[in-house]
Amino acid sequence: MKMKYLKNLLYVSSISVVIGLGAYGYACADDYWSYASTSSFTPEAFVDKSYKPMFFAPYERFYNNSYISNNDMFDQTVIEEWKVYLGNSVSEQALNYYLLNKVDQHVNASYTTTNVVEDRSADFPLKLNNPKVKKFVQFLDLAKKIEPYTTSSFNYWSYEDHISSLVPDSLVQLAENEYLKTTSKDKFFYSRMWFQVLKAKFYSNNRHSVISYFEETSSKLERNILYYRGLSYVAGAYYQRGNYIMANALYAEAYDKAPQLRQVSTYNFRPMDEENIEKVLSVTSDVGVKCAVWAMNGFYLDEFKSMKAIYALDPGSPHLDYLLTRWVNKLEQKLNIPSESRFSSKEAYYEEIKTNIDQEVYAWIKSVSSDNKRLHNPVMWKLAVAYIDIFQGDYGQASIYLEEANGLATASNKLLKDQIRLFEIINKVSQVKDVNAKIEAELLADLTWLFAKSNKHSYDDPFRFDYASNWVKRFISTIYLENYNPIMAEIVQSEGPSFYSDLKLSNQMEAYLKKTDRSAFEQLFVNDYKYNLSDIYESRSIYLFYQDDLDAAIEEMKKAVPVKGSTYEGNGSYQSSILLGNPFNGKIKDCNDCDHTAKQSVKYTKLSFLEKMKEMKDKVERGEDIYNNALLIGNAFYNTTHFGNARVFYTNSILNEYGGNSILSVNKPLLLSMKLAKKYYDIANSAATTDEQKAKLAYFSAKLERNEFYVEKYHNSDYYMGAWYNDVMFKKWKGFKVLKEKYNNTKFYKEVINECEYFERYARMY
Amino acid sequence: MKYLSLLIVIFVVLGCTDHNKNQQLKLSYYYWRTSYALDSVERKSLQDLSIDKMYMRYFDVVLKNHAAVPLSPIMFKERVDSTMALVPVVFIKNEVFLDSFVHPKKLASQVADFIIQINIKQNLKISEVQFDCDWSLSTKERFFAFVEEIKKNQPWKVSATIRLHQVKYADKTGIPKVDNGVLMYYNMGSIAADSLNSIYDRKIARQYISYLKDYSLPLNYALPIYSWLIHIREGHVVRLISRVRKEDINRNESFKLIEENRYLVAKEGEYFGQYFKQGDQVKVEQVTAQQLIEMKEDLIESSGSCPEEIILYDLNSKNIESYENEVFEELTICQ
Repeated sequence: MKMKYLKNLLYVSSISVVIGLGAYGYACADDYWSYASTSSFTPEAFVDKSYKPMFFAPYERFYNNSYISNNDMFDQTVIEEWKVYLGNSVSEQALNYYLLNKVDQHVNASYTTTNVVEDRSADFPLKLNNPKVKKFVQFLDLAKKIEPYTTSSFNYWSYEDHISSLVPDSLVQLAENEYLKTTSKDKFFYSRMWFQVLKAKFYSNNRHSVISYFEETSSKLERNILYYRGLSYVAGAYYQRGNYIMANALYAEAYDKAPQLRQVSTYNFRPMDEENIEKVLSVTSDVGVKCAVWAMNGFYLDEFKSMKAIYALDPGSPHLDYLLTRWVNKLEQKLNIPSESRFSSKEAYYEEIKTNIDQEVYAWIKSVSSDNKRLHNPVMWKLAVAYIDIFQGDYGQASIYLEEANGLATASNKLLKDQIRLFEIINKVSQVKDVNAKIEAELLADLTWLFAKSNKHSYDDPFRFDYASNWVKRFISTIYLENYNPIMAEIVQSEGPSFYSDLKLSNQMEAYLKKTDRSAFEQLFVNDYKYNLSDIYESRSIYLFYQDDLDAAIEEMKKAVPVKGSTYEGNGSYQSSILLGNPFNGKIKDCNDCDHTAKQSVKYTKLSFLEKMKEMKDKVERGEDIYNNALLIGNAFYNTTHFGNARVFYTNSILNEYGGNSILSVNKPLLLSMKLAKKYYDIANSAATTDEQKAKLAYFSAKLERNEFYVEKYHNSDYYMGAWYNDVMFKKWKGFKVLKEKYNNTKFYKEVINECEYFERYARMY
Repeated sequence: MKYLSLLIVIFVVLGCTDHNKNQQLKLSYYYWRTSYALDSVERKSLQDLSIDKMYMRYFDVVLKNHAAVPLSPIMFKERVDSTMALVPVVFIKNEVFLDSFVHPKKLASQVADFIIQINIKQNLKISEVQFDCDWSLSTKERFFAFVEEIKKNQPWKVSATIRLHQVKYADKTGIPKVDNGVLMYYNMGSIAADSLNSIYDRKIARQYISYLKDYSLPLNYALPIYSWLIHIREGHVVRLISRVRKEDINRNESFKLIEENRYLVAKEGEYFGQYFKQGDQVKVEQVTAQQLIEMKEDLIESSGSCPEEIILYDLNSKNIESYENEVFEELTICQ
């Protein structure tokens, strides 16, 4: 192939592109995406593997990032072919050694010196009394002389090897002479030597000379892979001259006749407008090649237009099937939107998908699909129609097409059978209006099969069931909700905090999960449900805590016992999770890290923390040391907000909070609210007797006011952006004013001046 | 007396300003093509701006069958002016350090040797090298070991490119032990069909550069003067075409402006060497002169100091011609 300049085309300026993703890669490294994330139509089930690199890939040039490895793409073929030719006279190891070893100078010495080759001390001695082996050596002798000019480099770490030089004229001449010496009787050897001439010419000073040489000599050759590789050199020579019409016509021939060359031909093909494509088509009278022209143009431009053209030329062309996989995969990419929540309603879902289907294409595919006899793979066409019918809500017709597909598919083709079953499931589920015993019975086996696929998925299995599997859950959850069954709706497709913040639903879920008599259908979903009872109790305790209902919070937390092997991001320790700092601290400066590293005589767990708070609250209610107890409770409520040192308290898999800066909107009213801290600081304030005590509370009230301002200003979007260096960080808080005007003679005032720069600046300014 | 007043003036200047502000910054270029040959515009720009330092991409290091190999080393079509201080830059794909078969120490000697081979072939002398690698949490140790090995065995000053996220998450991503870093102040978004500018977005930049003050490695800044066209079909990026600017599109009647920086292809055809379908869209990303100044000011403001050097990415007549010389001169002033 035309390696040298392909190499340049493939090269992507590194600093400018690759690193572009750097800033974001960090944040979304966990996201998993595969073709099955938006697709249920597995192209591997329908067309042969030579088309695979050109399957539709929304974000890559070639499917699975298939890389065109110019240097070694034919290595295996070459070995195989020589093996057949030489029989047992040369071992496969020796073939590998002589044919593929591109670096070792020793190899060079071995095959050029006949004596050395026969020398027993050589790694792989060759017996020259066998005429075929002798030819092998003759071939190596020539090929290894040309190779340094044609492969992109020998020793990667040698700069000299990267400096490309052209095959000298004398070597081209030598190749031609050697080829002339061979006779066409030994077809294999004849082809190989001929190919060396083309190769030498292509990488010589006169690249264009391959064109005439090919025209003069090619008629005597077998139409094997070497022939089409040679033809591709000719195409490359035309391409370099800017004659894209001829280049495209020849690449199309290689594409059509040599499946191994499909990807590289597609890569080299230049997509063209209609006027030019007509010119390309007029170069050949071969229908297969014409179809290939359309197949490659369709890869780049318009699959539908190309399909129509191919169908008119040859309805049985496999290129036609391949384009249909691309068209369907593209359609799915538009219609199937991956999501982790249920649909707003099933009607809304139907509406959304219907509007995006091109009816002209649909009608055409449907009419073609009846051409059973002539199509190369009629099963796929039936399935394509059925799939679109499902999207359009025509389930009855979809059933008919699915049945026809099933009748045409051979039972041994497991992937194809799986594919049909998947569409049958989608079709059935789409028609569900309510989940009753009958529906459960109808779907149980199918869904068990489908979910089992997800649980033991092998990456080698191309079958695309991911999207369908998620979609089924989202859809059935929607149906449950529309039929007033929020519990099953949650189990099938969890909404997490928005469900559990409703304590009534939380209790109903607990009762349901404790039940043992449920249908096998329900059990299928319960098995996959992501929360356990400890998650639920813990979440409930947290919700109750933020309602200042400590008694109930303690009761729930007591039930949140540690779970072994929990998926909980902490360690599954629930009530015994240890708070990192002292949650009763009330400092001038909020510094979580300082509080976490500070020495603590008592370490609180979630549960012991709640119990300690309760003890203090009881004292406040009994009127014992109200100031101190209320102050400490106020601190505890402060520390269990986002601004405090006890974020561990609200880590919970249902709330889906782990102490980060970005807080889910649904949790914001709990985790960002200063209301409870304020309530207890106010109680402490009304019990305060000394100026020192009052000074402290004035300052704490300023902290609350500040946090409320930060919440409003910097936590107002879904993603936490933080403040910018010239954004407002403090204002004239009321607490500052009181502290300065009334309590500037206190010790606490002086401490604040020393520790809090904002207050110090305020005190200077006003 | 004359000397005394001069001393006073100096004292006053030093006394009332931040000592590292009000400097003249050095301006240099990145050269990022695979073969070296300058055209008259590029040559003139080097002269006009008195640029005497160039960071040249020497080669990339990529992974092939579990081995690190150099890719597309620079080829010289002409000699580099001997007065030009040349800094070879080696881009190492992160995947190289992800592979456990690659030994950082061995790679360091291979890379150093390859740089030396190029220098010998071209008779070039260098005193600094730069490594460009978007290292991640899982590769930082191996990349750092690589860099340290080079420093240990070679007489060169070593610098490294630094990405914005590496500044923000420095405590996690770590800081390589190099003599200085170059903050790449571009590539702020992904190349996408959306309306954002992936080259530069001040809002995104702001999420990162407040961390500059705490970054312990001295940084120079690389600023983008490049542009590209993003070819979009049905909401998906088809390809990038480098060095196309708005002016080029505006001259072509087949493109209709639909939004700022965004055009609709009204007529199918081949433009900029590629086929465009009717209905395709293109997005042109480039940075204005005003934004370049804004970048410099934001960086100085948030880091609180002047860098020694600003490096423009990249030296190419197509890029240079879109800016007045005065803009680049303005970049060299730090106040």
